[in-house]
Amino acid sequence: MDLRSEQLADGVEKISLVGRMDSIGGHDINVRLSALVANRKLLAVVDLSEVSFLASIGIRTLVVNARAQSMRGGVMALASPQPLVAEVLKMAGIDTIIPVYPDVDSACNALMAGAGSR
Amino acid sequence: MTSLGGEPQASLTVGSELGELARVSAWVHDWAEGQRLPPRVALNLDLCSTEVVTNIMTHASSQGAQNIFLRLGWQGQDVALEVEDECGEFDPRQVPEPAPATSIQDARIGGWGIPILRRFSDGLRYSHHDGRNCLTLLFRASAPP
Repeated sequence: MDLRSEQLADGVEKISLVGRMDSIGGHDINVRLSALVANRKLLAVVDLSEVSFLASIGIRTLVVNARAQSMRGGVMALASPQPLVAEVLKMAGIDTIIPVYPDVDSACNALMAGAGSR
Repeated sequence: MTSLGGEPQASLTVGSELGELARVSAWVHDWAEGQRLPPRVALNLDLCSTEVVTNIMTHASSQGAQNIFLRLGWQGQDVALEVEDECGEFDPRQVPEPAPATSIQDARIGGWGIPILRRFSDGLRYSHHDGRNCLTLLFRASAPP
């Protein structure tokens, strides 16, 4: 798996994941994602548009890092899941505890609106 | 391994190291392409085979199991994926459904593999014989070509 991150103009950290989130890719990406989001407060959008596959190990990675961000007072949202990935998220009820948006722009807008109201 | 109902069939034996997952996925997709399965059925097969094999690999080293035996074939209109292992007896059908999470703080981080099997296959059969677990997952598809 690959991970790319960039700071968007509105201060949101966009993190793009690429590849299969199975036990091979998921382990590697968990370490790199944690290094980005676990130690500082962020408004983070994880772009899943290039994640072709989400196994249970990938659910673990997303929950652990969203929880770490929540405990720091930040928010980690998910954006652009492919249909199978979206179904896995829905099956596990992840879409009810981590916000999921159809694209990165709508995720950024929602995070900024939420930050403004806090 | 019990015989599947139709031809063509394919079989694969892999070791219990996580590095073998890529081989399982490639094998599943090669077979699915050869059978002209709809892409969505191939994805479901890939996802479920990955979950089953990962779960076995997680427990294999502590239980002295070395190999995982897979077979793909047809049972009528369904694709059947059979997976056998030599780990301790384990019937995934007996695992209860996890309670839905109500917040990110109380969300469970693991245990989603078997719910994935239930959701993304169309049937699970299990037997234990000759010291082996045999799990069969069924996937609704069109008839073999």
